[in-house]
Amino acid sequence: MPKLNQLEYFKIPSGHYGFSGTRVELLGATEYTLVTIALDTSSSVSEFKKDLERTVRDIVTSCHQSPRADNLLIRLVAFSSKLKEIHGFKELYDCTPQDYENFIQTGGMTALYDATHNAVHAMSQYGKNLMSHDFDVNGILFVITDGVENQSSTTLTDVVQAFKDSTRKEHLGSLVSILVGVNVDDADLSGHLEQFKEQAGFHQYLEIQKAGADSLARLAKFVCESIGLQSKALGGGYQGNPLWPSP
Amino acid sequence: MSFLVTSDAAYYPGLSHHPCQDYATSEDGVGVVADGCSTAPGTDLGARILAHAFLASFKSGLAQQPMAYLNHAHEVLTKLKLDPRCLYATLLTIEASRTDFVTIMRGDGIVMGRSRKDGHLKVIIKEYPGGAPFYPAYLLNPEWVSRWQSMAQPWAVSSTYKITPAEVTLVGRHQSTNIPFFDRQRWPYDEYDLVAIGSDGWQSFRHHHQNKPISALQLLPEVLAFKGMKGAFLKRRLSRQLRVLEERNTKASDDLSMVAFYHEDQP
Repeated sequence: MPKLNQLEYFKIPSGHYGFSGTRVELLGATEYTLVTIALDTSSSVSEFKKDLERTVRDIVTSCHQSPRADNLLIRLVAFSSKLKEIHGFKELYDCTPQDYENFIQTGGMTALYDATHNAVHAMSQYGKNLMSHDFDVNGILFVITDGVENQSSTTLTDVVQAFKDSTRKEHLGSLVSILVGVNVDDADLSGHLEQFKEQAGFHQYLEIQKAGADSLARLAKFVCESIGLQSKALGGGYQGNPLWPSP
Repeated sequence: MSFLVTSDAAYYPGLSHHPCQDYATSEDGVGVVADGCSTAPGTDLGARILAHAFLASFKSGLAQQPMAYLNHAHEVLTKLKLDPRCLYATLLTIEASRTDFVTIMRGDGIVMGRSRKDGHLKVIIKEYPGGAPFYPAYLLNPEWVSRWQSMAQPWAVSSTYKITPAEVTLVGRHQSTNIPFFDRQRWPYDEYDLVAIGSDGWQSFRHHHQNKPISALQLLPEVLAFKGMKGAFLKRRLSRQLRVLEERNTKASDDLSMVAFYHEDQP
């Protein structure tokens, strides 16, 4: 884990929760892909909490094997009624799988807009900071939820604006955003999440009907492959957009 | 007081060279820029062999023996059955000693240092008016030396400039006919915090719409305005600046390479 003085804290305009990231003067690579995983930890997640934690561990473990491992900065956010930054943007080699044991505390409602707004804004703002220091930067965002918005203080308009701001050239080279619905076993919920994807401006909506060890392992593989593709796109012009792997 | 020296190296192909015949690398307090001759065969490979032969000699404590790395490079060529002319390359080196950076120019190129006191740049540009630099590999064969001497204008000219935000001033120029033209320069740490070496590609920038040359002296202050000195600081800066210059329709026709060393005192 980075020491406190290795982190810098940032406030988000109009947001109620900021973010942290490794101090730019401590970063040594030429380019970085910012990875944010925003994880729904509302009370309904409790039945597959362990599988979800394993998913994050698998993602981190797999990313360590990636040839792009030195170029990843990862941020993990948990959200229910409120946001909680598990950790800010930190280099992958500072993330060990053991850090992700028992980190989810379930309970509360689903502040989906707040989480998305914060995640996108944090990537834009931190990306802008890195770019102003000559780093090449792009980003990939995963918002993983099992429910629809029911608690946020920010609005859908705020989320849409955050996505629009992120496309400014001086913020991020590109941002791939993927909304993942987990345990989506009814058509209504599926429809709402699909609609949120369209309205907010996510690139992709991906649905897992039944959360379990196998399906979440596939999710981990997909997330890791997507991160790898987006990171390879840095400077190369190719934007990662992998296909959801078949069972 | 202890100190920390960080270094980074970068090289990029120019518009007219494929493959890139420049090479740059740095490790353990020594850095090398090698610029292969564009009219000799296989100098992209030769430049790399020469650079690594120098690093190997340096690590073996043979840096003071001028022929050691040349002989080592020649042995490698012989084993690989390569044309010996592929070693036709300039070799600029930088070493971090206990008290200063030491640069040596073997062939044409640029050496520059940033004043610790007021940030001005001292830039030394070495050129061969005859158009053909004296490559250190010529020392491997007396016939190559004679052939070079028989060319028109077999001498080198070194020009020293001082660059401040307000002006560029020529502070000295000297001509030399002393083969092998190895120019050694000391850059004391108490006077210079940053020293860099670069190939002659830095003098090949042109504004492509206006078809006019852009002087390296004009570009270098912006190129060396590093935002941070950690890790790949030179690669970050150069890749950003080359993009900025391209947006201004300014590109280098020749290959580019540079090694930069930065010194800072540690508490």
